Order: sequence, then C-alpha cells, then structure tokens
Amino acid sequence: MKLPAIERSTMRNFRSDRESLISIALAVFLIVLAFASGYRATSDLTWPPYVDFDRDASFAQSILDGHYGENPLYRDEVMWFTPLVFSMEALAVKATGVSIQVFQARAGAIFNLLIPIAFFLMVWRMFNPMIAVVALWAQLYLLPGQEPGWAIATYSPWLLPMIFSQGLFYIMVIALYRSFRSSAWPVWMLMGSGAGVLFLAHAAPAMILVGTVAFRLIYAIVTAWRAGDRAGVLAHLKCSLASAAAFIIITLPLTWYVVGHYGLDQVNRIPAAYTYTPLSLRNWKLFLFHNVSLFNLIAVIGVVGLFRGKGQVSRMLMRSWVLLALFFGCFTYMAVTLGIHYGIKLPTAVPTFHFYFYLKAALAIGFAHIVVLSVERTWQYLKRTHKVRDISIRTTCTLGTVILVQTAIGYPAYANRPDLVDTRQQCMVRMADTGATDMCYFMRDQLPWEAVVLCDDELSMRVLMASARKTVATNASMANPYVLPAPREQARAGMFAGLEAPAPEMDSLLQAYDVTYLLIRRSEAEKYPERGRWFPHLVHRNEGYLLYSRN
Amino acid sequence: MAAGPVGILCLVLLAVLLVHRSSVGLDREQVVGTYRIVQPSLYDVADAPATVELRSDGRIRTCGPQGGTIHEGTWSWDDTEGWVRSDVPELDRRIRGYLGWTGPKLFWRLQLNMHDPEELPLESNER
Repeated sequence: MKLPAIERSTMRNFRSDRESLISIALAVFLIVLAFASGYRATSDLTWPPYVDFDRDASFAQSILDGHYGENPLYRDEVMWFTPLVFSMEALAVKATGVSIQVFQARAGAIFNLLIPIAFFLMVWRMFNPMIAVVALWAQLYLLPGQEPGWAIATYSPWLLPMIFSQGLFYIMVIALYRSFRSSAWPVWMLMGSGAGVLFLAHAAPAMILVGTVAFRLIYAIVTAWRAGDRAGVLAHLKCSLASAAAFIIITLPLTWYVVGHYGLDQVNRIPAAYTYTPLSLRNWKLFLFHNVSLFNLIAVIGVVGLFRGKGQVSRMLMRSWVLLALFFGCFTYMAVTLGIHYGIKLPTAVPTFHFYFYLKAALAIGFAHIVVLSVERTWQYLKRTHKVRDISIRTTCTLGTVILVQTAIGYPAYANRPDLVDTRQQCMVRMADTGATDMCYFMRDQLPWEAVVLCDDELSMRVLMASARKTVATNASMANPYVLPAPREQARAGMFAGLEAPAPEMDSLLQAYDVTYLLIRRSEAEKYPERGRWFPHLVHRNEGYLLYSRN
Repeated sequence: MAAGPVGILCLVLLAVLLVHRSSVGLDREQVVGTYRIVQPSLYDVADAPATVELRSDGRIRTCGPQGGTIHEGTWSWDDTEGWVRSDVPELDRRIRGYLGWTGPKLFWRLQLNMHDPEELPLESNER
C-alpha cells in the first residue's frame, strides 16, 4: 500500500547523523539570535513592563516576608495565583540578593530559552529533525509579527507565567508522547505529577494537558472494557487513579487555598473576562490584520493534515492539543459573553487568549509539515526518485538555505519588533517614575505586613502592589478572583469621599478595612481637606507621592 | 550546507553580523523627512494621519488625508532607544525606527496606549 506523502514524511523518523547535526546547528543559530534580541531589550532594565509583574512581585514578596499562602493585597484573604513563577522569583532573590524587579525584568531572556529548546525537542521527538527545525523557525521568526509575546506562542524575554509555562508544556508533551501507550501506573503517576507542576506554572496549558491525559486513559479503559479485557480495565483504572492522585497532591500549594478556602467560587469574573483585543468579535478586522497571511494559510492546511493518520501517537496528541485549545477557547468566550449579556454564570478559569496562544504553536508545527512535505515532493518530482536518503539530504539543504536567507533578511525587523521595543519603552516609562519606585520600596521595607494603605486604582497597581502591602481595593482585573470587587470599590470610594468632605461613615469604613495609611500623589495634596483629620501624620514623601498614617 | 567546522564558523559569523547590524541605531538626520502612512488592505485605519513631517528645524506635523494639520509641535530623536520624542503627548513615542537592510524603517503606532502594539509603516516621500 502506498502511503500519502504527508504520512511518509512524518512516519519516517530515520535521519542521518549529518542531517541531525545540520538541524541542531540551525536550531542553535535560530535560538541564539532570538536570545540576542531578547537580551539586548532587557539587560539594562530595572523595572518590568506590566502590572502582571507587580502582581507576581507581590506574591514573591509575601514568600520573602514569610507569609506564603496569604493574599498580599487584601487583608484576611488567601493566595489565589499559580505559584511556580513567583516562587522561583522569591528563591532567586533570596539566593542572589538582586531585587525582585530587576530579576523580573532581566531573567526572562534566559529562563524563557526553555521555550524554543523544548519546542524543538518536542517536534523532533514527535516527528523528525527537519520538521523540528522548520517548526522552530516558524515559531521564532514567522509567528510573532506585531503581536505581543504574551498572546502568541513564541520566545519572548518577558518572565510572565503564561510565557514561561509554554516550555514546561512542551516538555510534558514529550513525556506524554513517551508514555502514551503505557499501562504502568508509576508512569502515569509521573505524568500526573508533571501536569501538577505545569498547573502550578499556569492553568491554561495544564487544562490542555490534563484533558489529553484524561481522554487517553478513558479511551484505553473503554477499549479494554469492550474487548472484555478485565485486566486492561483494572490496569488503566490504576493508572488514572495514580495520575489523578499525583496531580491533586502536587497542586496542593495552590488548590489548598482556591479549592479549600474559596471552593473555586470565582465571584470576581473580570480577570477571566479579559479579551485580547483582536479576539473580540467587534475587532474582527484587527484579527484579520494579524492573521491573514500566507503563513497562516499554509499552517492551517498543515494542522488539518496532522489530523489524518490513525494510530500515530504524535497525531493523536496534536489532535487533542488543537481540539482542546479550540474547545476551551470557544467555551471561555461563550461563558464570558453569556455572563455579560444574559447573566448566565458558567465556570471560567483563564482568559480566551491563552488558548489562542497554544493554537499558534500548533500552527507552527502544521506549517513545518507542509513546507517539508512540499520540498520533499518537489525533489522527488525533479529527481524522479523516491530514495529516502537522497531526497532527505536535498530537502535538508534546501530548507536550511531558505531558513538562513529569510532569517538574515528579516532579522533587523525581528530584533526590533514591537514585543521588544514597545514593551521596553513601557519599562522605561515606569523606570522614569523614580518616586513610585522609592515609595514602593519604602512601603515594602518600613510598613508592617498587615498595613492597609488607602489609595486609588492606579496607585494600587503602579506603586503599592509590588510592595506586597494591603489596600482596600485594586483594579478588579488584577484582583483576587474569589473576592467580590464591588463592596471594596464602594468602600474605597466612600473613604475618598470622606477625605474631600465630612462623612459620618468614614470612621466605620476605615475600621472595617483596618486602614492605617493613605497614599496620594503630591499634586492631590490640596484635593482632600479632610485628610488631616483622618491621616494626620506624614510618613514619607518624595517628588511624586505622599504617604500618611492614621497614628 | 555543511555541518562541519566551516559551516559552524559561517553560522557564527553570520550570527555576529546580524546581531551587530540589528543593533545599529538611526541618527536624527536619517529620520528627518516627510512620510506617508501605508494603509493595510484589510484593516481600515480611519484615525491615523495620512502624512507625518519630521522637519530638520525640529518641528513635527501630522496631517489628515485632505492635508489639514492634526497635531503640530517639536520633536527630537532618541537615538539610544530609536523613538521620536515630542512635546505633543499624542506624538510622543508614537514613531519608532531602526536601520533595515535597505535603509531606515519607521513605523507609526496606531494607538496612543503602548499596550496595543499594532503599527503601520511610514514610507518616505523623498524616495
């Protein structure tokens, strides 16, 4: 039986040492160039770009202050965010003495190297070295365009959990590929443990991985049951239990709090409702702006091609990956839409774009398949031969040349892409606000852990959050999703009203939230005539900000 | 394509060349000029200016499709970071540039907010 060419190209894992070496050399070349651009963009930064980093810094600081498990921003609340990355940050700060912000701003260029390395190894393991190097080229140099690094699966030097966890996901796909047909429970216990670690890094890739593991084990149990294979049913049940138990135990550093304390009841649905601008329906033209390209057309055809081929583990994994990412993405979008327009409350975990992110990674692999297949077929046609070795050497040389030429031509644009230069500018803007940095460090170093600082939405994120000291309310999109934002926001508004004019409820509000400090901008000093009554003592001031205390 | 020592050496040299080339900044003289914004075919950007003038006397002006002035002020070139800085908030850090293989490449960011990275290329009218 003659197999279709796409089957032959992916089934054939044989490659000579020389071709493997060329693939490795090209991969190193591509990764080094990507790293160089990331390093150049971040190596002199002292503050990270987004408020997401300040959220992570607050949790890292909570560890350094000996309060792991507590909510650094809301008094008497508990930890709610995936802890792996901020725990790494706390560990690095403890070990090196560098400030959290410097580490956050600079370490991503190095730590995120795990992404292209693991991606290359994953595609190599699942397919072959040539597909791996073409997929890596696509992932690094063809996917990004103008989209930010947190929205698409590529190497980006920013140490965000959603970006860093990508590398762990690819490692876990390699592990799953190796253990896919195993019926030994220790193997699946390790898979469950790995999925647990991935979950501690970020929920979105863990959902795709856990879904794939669940499908695999349920399918194996049903197949064994239908065949009357009782031993097989029991063996796979044991695997399921071992995997689930390991996952539950490993994820306890988070689930102890979000399940045990909050019962997973996300009353603040604003964080999960965040929609990446090109993914909202009203911005469909922007979606087309980013996605109408020859690359994506080829990649989609390649992904559909990957769906073919029964019984191949790599294709089953890719199918599961793509379909689960599509399902979770669509479900989240639907849940958010139904919640906003009809008040229907469906469970949500993470914003939609996290699944768009993983679909993009699958597109890189689909693109690589089509490109490798096309070049192989072209050489077969030109040379009138089907000799695997001859065709594969010519394919390797052709694609290697294409990759080198395109990378050389496109590198100045790549090294100056918006994900690097725009994001770097956001760091520069924040770094220029030296008053904010001084005030943040003052609060972190001088205020007790339980201090509650009254401040507005912007100051709570820009100045207070990274200090890991408490406030009354922060922006709901960055707040604890298990705490209702409205009562806190109303209380904060009431307190600020009480600073502008006498308000009878001011004292009870301050007491209800244990407010001990007030943080305002210097330009607002005259705006609050009642300030002296409630916060009489100036604790710290600099060129931008004022901090007062009640006592 | 050899994966031997010569091939590896060539890759190293190419990498060094590319890293060096990509880090060469633009100077102010290379940026001065009148540019038109290249509109994409699928995405209609109604609120972007049609032309941007970066004059050698330090004045900057953006104009609409009919030639009317949208914003006007002074500008300077941040040659370390590769951005146009301006006393007009709507124009400050709105234009960036780098040295491509064929000369300066300038871009206009669509949104004032730096969180939205979408941008359009600026094409020099002098070319």
